[in-house]
Amino acid sequence: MKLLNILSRGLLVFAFCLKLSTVNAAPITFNTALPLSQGQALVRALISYEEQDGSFEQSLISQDRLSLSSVLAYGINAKWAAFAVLPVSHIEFSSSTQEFNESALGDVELFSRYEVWKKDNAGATRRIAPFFGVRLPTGETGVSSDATTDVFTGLVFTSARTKQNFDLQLRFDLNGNNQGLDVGNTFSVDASWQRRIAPSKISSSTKGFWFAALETNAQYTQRSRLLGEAVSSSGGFISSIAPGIQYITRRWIAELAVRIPVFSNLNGEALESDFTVFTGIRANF
Amino acid sequence: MKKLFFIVFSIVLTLSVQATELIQYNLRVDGMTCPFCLAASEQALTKLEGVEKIDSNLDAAIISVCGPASLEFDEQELDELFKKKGFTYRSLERLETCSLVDKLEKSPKDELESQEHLHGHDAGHHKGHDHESHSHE
Repeated sequence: MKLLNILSRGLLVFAFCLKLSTVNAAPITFNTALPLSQGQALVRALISYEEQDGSFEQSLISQDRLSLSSVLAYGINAKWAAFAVLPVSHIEFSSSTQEFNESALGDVELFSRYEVWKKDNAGATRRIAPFFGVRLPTGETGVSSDATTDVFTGLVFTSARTKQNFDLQLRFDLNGNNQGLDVGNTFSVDASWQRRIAPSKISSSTKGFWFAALETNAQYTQRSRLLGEAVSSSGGFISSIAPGIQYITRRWIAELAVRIPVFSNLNGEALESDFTVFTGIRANF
Repeated sequence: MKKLFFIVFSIVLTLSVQATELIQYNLRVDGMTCPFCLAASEQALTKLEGVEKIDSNLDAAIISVCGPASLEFDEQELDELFKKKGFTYRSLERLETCSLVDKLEKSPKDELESQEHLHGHDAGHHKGHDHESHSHE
């Protein structure tokens, strides 16, 4: 918890040291579609709370995870943006034989996005941008990290209008290996639809407005392999839906979403998510 | 009576000269989807020399700017300015009179009229204005 406090205070200090700029609606549960213009910086603090449970060898196990993901991003030019995601987690694990609480830094993600196509119309824009990044094993092995260096790539499509936005992310994670453990690769599809619900009419003098958001996430992970042998309780498919809400002012955005699993087909005795609550704040400078 | 006529004439003349002093440019800027994008663009334009009044219509993608008759825009500069903001500058239209009122003085009725006025321009109606337009792709 100390880490969470330090990081949140650090973000606040950083935020006040910079001149605030304008913000716009964007997906809550993924970062690749965050809008940035040239020379603009972005800070996002996203707190998530996830409850998971499952069984292992007929023993019930549960895990609650409270995380703070700090996102820093910068618009290098009108097309190119760089991002850094720094997660910190507090985990509470309990089973019939074991109980522990632990706070740890997670794996840092660094990635870059480059806009390759853009079509602007009156009150509307559509763009496609591939992204490429790396996840470094900065977390604590076995708690918040699998100690592998992973690379990921994908494509993000955004269609924004004055009343609604749509973002679609296709992402492939090529996960690395460590000490004989070859972590299964992941392919995910994430979509986010945001619609302005109030006020119905806006102008440049509008002070703030509300967006309702609906996000879907689907993820397939290959089985991991340990010394060449498939790990039975690893990989599988999960899909979820996340209704949410965003309040947008000129300077900052506050957001809240609840991710609920819709369908999961995980291999073996893996932990399954009950729900995840996301809440956060974002500002551009 | 002559004195009174002279005073009234002077006031009318002064007001009419003041009214024709400002000209208006309607800039078409695509890709702006939120009021804050619009506000950021307005802010950037107010920094340009000669810009005195500014107003915009998000749905029509029009930013209207008033300034003295000497006010001129470099289209390449506008293109660069909006590109940095992440938007696409399309064209500008020059009107010989300014129909904008200061935002601080604007009443809800004025706001409505202003919006209707801009929609009118977008639809190609320019009653009561001499204008010329330039396009930029």
